[in-house]
Amino acid sequence: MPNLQDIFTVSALTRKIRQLLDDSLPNIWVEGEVSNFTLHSSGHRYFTLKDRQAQISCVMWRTRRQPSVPIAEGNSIRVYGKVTVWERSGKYQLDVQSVQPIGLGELQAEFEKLKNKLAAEGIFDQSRKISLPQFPRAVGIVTSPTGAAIRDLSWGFSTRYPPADLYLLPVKVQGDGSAREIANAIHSLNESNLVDVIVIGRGGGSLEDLWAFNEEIVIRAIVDSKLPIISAVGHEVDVTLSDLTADVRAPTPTAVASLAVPDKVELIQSINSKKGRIMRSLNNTLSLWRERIMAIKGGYGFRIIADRVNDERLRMMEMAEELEKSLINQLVNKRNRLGAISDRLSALSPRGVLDRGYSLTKRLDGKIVKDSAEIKPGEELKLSFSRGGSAIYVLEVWQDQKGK
Amino acid sequence: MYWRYGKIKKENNTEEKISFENAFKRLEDIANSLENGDIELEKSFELYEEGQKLMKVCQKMLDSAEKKLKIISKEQNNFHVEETDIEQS
Repeated sequence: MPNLQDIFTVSALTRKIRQLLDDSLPNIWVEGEVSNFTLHSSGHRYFTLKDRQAQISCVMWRTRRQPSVPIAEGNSIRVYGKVTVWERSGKYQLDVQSVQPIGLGELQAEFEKLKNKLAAEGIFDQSRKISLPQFPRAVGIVTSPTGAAIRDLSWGFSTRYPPADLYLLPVKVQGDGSAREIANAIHSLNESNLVDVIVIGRGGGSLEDLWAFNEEIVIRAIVDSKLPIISAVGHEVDVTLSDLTADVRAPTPTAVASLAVPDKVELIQSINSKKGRIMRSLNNTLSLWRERIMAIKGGYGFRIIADRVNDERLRMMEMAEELEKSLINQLVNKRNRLGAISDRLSALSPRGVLDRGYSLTKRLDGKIVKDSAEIKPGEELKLSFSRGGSAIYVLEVWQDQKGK
Repeated sequence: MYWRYGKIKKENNTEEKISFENAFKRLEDIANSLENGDIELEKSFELYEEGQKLMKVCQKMLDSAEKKLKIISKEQNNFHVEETDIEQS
């Protein structure tokens, strides 16, 4: 029979159990598989963590930080919390404070290791990065064909800059084989000669979900790409190695278009401004030419020329008159001189002499008598007058007196 | 090639394909020439007309309403492209 002092009440026993657990099990990490998950309307989460041999009830109060991984049926998770005893119900449960996917620690370690290795190679150096084309003719997008990312991206591009063609090369963005698909897609777009710039990305998720974009095969594909690559993986806080390696990192899908292509609104403004410049220039040019023509027609220079032309014309007329006058004078002079000469000639001709009363005396042998010594009295001579002539005999002959 | 081109009519009535970038930059050249250069009157008119054509072409390319997303699938070494509409997101 038990000793009366040693008999516990249920409350006392429960209290004892609680005490023992509190003392020996502080906050601990527990791994297990999730089952019977409920998200209560109060916001509290209730679930069971189990393995092959045992299970334990868990609760995550709504005041706790949001779990970074979904607590879903069948998921293996790691939780941090404290075992508590609910005296009322006689149950013990794990009061969960935070949740991690299994292997997160390993993943993070691997991330750091790869990051350091690549950094040492200079993979993340700014100098390695290629600049984006200002007016891409086509954009190649590597992402899941379903989901918000491709919808946001294609809508963003098509509204911001319609001239750029959009290509999607669909890939798995998580799970087995995803890293290889992403790497192959980058290679293919480079080969295809269809696009000027590549965008790789996906929506938000846990480190595990985004893991493909940390894999070395993807990093190498980005490095080898001749085309510039924009990386848009997860949310702004999630930085993957792809983000560090890519030529440009977009913090969100909507940011991608504003990084990759110009804004059509700005382009239209720019075009209008050029239109204005062209119109103004043309107007100025026309005005300038109009002025020049006016200046020529009514301008001082033109008038001077016109005046000068008139002056020249006047001068020419004057000169012509003078020339005419002088010619006439010359002619008159010549005529006068001619007349004078003609008169002289007339006077000098024998006929003229005879007309003045002289007669021509010839001997019978025809010789003209100039000297009285050539003739004798009684000689027959012939005389010619201005009109007619006669035959005569010489009566007497005499010489000139001195002085005659 | 799948580049998006605008079309510009030339004097001999043929159509020449021009990319947005080239049209836009040529427009800037024309604005500069008319502003800076001592251009003959006839050449000024020619440049003005060319500018008009380019503006139209650029506007048209920026206004494209029907925008398609082209989905690439690769079979062996061949690229196969399929078009699909883009919906408001």
